[in-house]
Amino acid sequence: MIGNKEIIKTKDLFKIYRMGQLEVKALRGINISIAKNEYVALMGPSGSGKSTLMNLLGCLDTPTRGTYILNDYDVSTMSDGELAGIRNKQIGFVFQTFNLLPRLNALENVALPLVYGGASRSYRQQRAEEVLYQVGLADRMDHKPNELSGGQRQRVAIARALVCKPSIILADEPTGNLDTKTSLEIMEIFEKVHIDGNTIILVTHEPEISEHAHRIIKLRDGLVESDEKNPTVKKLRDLQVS
Amino acid sequence: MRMYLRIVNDSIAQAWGQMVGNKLRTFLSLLGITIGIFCIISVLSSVESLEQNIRSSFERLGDDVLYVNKFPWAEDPGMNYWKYSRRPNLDYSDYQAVHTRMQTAGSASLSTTVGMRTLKQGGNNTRAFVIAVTERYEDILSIELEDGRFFTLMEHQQGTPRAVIGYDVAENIFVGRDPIGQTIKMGGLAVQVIGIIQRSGNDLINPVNFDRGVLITHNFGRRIANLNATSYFGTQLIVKAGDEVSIEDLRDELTSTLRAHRRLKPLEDDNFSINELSLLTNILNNFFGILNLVGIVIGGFAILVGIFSVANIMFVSVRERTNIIGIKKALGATRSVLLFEILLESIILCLIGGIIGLLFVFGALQLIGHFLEFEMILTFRMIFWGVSLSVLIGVLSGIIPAFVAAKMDPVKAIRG
Repeated sequence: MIGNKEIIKTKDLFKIYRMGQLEVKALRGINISIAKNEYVALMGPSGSGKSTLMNLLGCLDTPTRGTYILNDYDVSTMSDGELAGIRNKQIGFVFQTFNLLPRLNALENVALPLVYGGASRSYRQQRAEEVLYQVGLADRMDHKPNELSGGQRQRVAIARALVCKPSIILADEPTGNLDTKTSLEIMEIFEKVHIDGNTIILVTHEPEISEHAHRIIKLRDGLVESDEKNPTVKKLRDLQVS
Repeated sequence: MRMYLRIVNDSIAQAWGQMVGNKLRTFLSLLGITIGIFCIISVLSSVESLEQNIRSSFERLGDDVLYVNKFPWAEDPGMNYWKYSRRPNLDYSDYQAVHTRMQTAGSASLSTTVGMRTLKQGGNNTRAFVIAVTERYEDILSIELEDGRFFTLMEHQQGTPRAVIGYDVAENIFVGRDPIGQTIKMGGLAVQVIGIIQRSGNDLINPVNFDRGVLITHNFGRRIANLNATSYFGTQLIVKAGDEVSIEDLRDELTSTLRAHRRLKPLEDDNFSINELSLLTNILNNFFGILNLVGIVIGGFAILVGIFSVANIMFVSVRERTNIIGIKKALGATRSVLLFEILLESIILCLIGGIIGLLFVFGALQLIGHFLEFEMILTFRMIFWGVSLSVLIGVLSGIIPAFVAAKMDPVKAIRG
């Protein structure tokens, strides 16, 4: 991993919410650095600030103080419109609740970020098919989300996250709504996506999910509690192959 | 560009889904737009059709003609009624003065209403409106003949018993036979028919509708009635300007000629009124203006209600889709994209309402036209106005919900 380009660099990241008179410091100076093709799990109990950090890393929100450099872009000072562009090009989101658009079929859902990116129709079609194939849903492209199982929906969501070739994949509790077996299927796909050279940030509070990551960052009370390599990375593909 | 096309598609789908999913709600909301567009466009179209009809009738008469009467046209006689009615009738000597002395007049004619007379021919009889005229009457009023000819100068001078009859009169007493050269009885005198006037048809207001009229020469008229003792509206002196003479010059010379002829002292008021068609068209303009205003006000209120109800739908629609808007934001949709999307949806809804309104207008005009036997048209201009208005309403009712959607915080919106 040494020598790989630094994709994420935060410096003294603060997020302070005001609730009337009360000031809530959700983040109190976060300094992390994530290199290209890392597979990081972001852990912490509720209230630790991990959702806030994930919103900042995903450019859905801006920090109160501090800087955040994403793939050489200083996103902490960007305007709303610029952030939309960054989210579109640099970040692939995978949510706990899948968040597919119910009226669109799998292919259209996957192609939607390309629409906002202004890609041509033929490229959209081709690229969306490609990533759906990668997640093993080549035969479900014209199905609407309500015609797919939970695992299949999450795979569509992963395909959608990959479609714009983002700098980071940001997965927020991606297995939170899935049973154990399906969760393993999804984690297997993440592993494959990682092997393909993508950078993954996995937000979770389940230790068995974080075991798949190569590095685990633990937050507590808005600060980094620990940041270390995972000595025992659980590999799923090996199990499957054998 | 492509992105916007995609959004157009999406918005049409959303609007359609909104309509199909909430039929009653959508129907009630669009009703306001439909009624508003219906009111405004139907009134404007009716007025336009009426106006077209009346104006084309007027245009035939030309705008270089002055009409001298006892009463002014464009004034409510109320107060001055007695003053006007005491004025002397216009008579043949006035006509002769104008005819012989005026330089600026191209032609002039005196017409005197003889009144309703019974015409008899064979076993048939009919009542017709008889008007006695001097030379050039047909030229000034552009009267077209169906068949036959007008009076010759000789006939005018000698008062030969000849008549040019209206189309309906001919139909009624000759019932399909050729009237030219035939004799009819009018007040016991035998009169020869020499011409038939072209049919005017069902124009709403037509100052030259002779379908039920009969024209005779002034000198023949004197033999069957006392032309100097007719009712106050009965006589009219019509003066047409000569080539390249302005209507103002004509009016000035006409006034001085008549004043001189009637020996009015300098301080005395005119004892005649010089009228022109523009006076009538001014009255009509006012009338149509009021009619249009009524349509616009009623329709405007309906549209106002419509705007609020469509805005309401759009608010509900945005609220229902908060989560989806959040997702779209996360995927990189900018504010302007979302703004455009919601606005477009609202415009599409209003367009549907407006187009239904226009269809109703079309139906209503056809129906009215059918019963009035009168052409009512929905012009392209009106359709354009209706559609533009619908788009405007869509923008007005969608703009605030669209801003609300565009400004949503993606973090909160995704949670729904």
